[in-house]
Order: sequence, then structure tokens, then C-alpha cells
Amino acid sequence: MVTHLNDERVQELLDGQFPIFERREIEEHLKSCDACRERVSQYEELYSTLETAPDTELSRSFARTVLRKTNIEEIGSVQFGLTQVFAALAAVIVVVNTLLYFIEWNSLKGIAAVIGKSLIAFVPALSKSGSTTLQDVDIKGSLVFIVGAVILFLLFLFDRYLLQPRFRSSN
Amino acid sequence: MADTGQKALIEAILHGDSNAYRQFIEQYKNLVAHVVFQLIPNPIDREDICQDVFVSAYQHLKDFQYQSKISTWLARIAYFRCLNYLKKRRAVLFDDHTPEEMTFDDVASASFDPYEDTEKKERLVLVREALAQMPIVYRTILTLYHLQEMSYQEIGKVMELPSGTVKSYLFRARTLLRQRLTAVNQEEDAW
Ligand SMILES: [Zn+2]
Repeated sequence: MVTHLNDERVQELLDGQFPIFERREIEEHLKSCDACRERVSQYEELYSTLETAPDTELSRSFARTVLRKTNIEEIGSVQFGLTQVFAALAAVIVVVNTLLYFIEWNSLKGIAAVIGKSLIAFVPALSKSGSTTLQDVDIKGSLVFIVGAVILFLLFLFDRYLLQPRFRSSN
Repeated sequence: MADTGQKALIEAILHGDSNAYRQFIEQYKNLVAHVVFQLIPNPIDREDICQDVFVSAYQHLKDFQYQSKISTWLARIAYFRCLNYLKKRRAVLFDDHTPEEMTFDDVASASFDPYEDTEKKERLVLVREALAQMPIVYRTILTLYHLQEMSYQEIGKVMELPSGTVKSYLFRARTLLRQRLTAVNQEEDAW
């Protein structure tokens, strides 16, 4: 004999916690009891509302941001941006140029003049119509250009495979 | 208890596969968002907290023992992250309420079929308002049970509660919500 369903029993019913025979008895009772049917229907409405997913939209960049944050935690101070890489590149080229010209003309000019020459050397090296009076400088300039390119390439490899975070976004 | 697919995914993540972690995030972001959005009243902080949960999960993934489901493990991180946030803001766990009032339009425009009956939307507003007034423990249990379909045992693991307690809180919370809905309906009928 089934008595009226209290809150707990209705919830157990809807949670599927009754064995089949007990369930049948309850269903029989519901056929003839308006009060219990009303209560069950209230809970059914409540369950359906609770099962409606709320709007929890995250930004489109959510995953990307998490990956970036994870990198910071993971790689820490080793992580360099492109700016730092190119600043390092520029510094290396200047040092190499200075050294090359310093070795060539160390007895003739001071460091200021050497830097000046190295700057001049770049012009004929880059534009193939090099001045004939500066033929030796032109050759030097080409050498500097090649050294610079090699350094650039090495730094690119270094950046690509060592400094970049493991979780670099793949798309 | 994690299946082999999940195990493979975790192995890939631990080997530094960024796509694997992206997949992991896609798979579990709703779970994390459901918990966080339910517990954190300030919309501005919600996304940040969800991010923190995944960053923390990544950092601790190597310690994951496969003794529970990933969903349980992750929900646990999310739940305790929210508790910490709320504690810092001096929220009282059992006397918490949401300052912002949800309007009918908020819910109606959120993600629902415009052809759905207005009665259902009104009920949704009522339930969510009532939920926002409820203790955090009740809200978490309702979310994990009804949206994530977790068992009492799983919810107990997430929240460090005995499963009997989970059950009694769940029943109490739903009874309160049902009473509240009935009271509102009766008020409306009286008009
Ligand atoms: Zn009855």
C-alpha cells in the first residue's frame, strides 16, 4: 500500500532510485492521486530547469590564453619575444663588424672611425654597384653581409627550436 | 578509472603536445565554466578563474593518479579555486548571495530557443534567482548532479563530503527550490 509521496520520495522517484516493483506501485498511486501527481509534475519542471545549461560562454581566445599562461609558468625567464631576439641579433652584427674592421685597420683609426667604415661598407655590399675606390671595402662588406646572414639564420633556428615555448600555438 | 583515450590524451599533454592540451580544454571547459559561473558572482572574474583552473590542472597533471575520473579531479580544482576566491573576498560560505539581479531578458536572450514558452523562461529566471541565494555547497551539488550528471560519490570526492551528506544537501536544495517556485506561483494565482 503506497502512501502519499513526500518531497524526498518524489525526488528518489525521479532520480530513479526505486526498484521496479516499488516504482509500479507508485505509478499506480499517481493515477488516482491528484496531489501527488501535482507534486511530481512540479519536480519534473524543476529538474528540467536545473538541467538547462546556463550561458557560460567563454571568450574565443580562451584556450589560446590558457596555453600562453601555461607557457609562462612552464618556461619562465627563458621565454624571449621576437623583439629581444632581433635586438640580440643587431648587437651581434655590430660587434662582429667592429671586430672585423678593427683587425684590418687597427693601427690607422680609432674605434669611432671603425664604426663609421663599417656603416659605409654596408652600402656597397648591399647595392651591387659598389664604388671602385672602395673595392677592398666592398669585399669586406660582402663578407660582413654573409656573416650577418649566417648569424640571422642561426638565431632563427635558436629562436624556433630552443627559446619558443613548448606550447606554441600551432594554428 | 580514466579510459584509455583519456590516458593517451594526458600522456600526449605531458609530452608537450599543445594540440592535446587544447583538446583537453575544449573537452572540459563546460564543466569548469558551469562550476565557476555558478559560484562566482562577478562576471569579470569568471573567465580568469576558469583560466587559472586549467593552468593549475596543467601544472598538476603529472600527479594525476587515474584513481578518479578527470572530470571529478578537474571539478575539484575548480571548486576549491572558487572557494579560495570567495574566501579572499570575505564571502560567507553559508550566507552567500549574488548582488546582481538576473533579469528576464538576461535569461531570455542567453541561449534559448525564442519559440520556447515564456512560462518555462520565467521558471528559469525564478530558479536561477533562487539558486543565487543558496549556500555555495547546495549550488555546487545541484550543478554537478544535474548538469554534469555526477554521482553522489563523485560529488563527494569533488567537495570532500561523505556521499550521504551530498544526498541530503541535494534533496534539501531541491525541496527549497520547489517550495520557492510553488510560493511564487501561488502569489501569482492570488492576483
Ligand atoms: Zn498521493
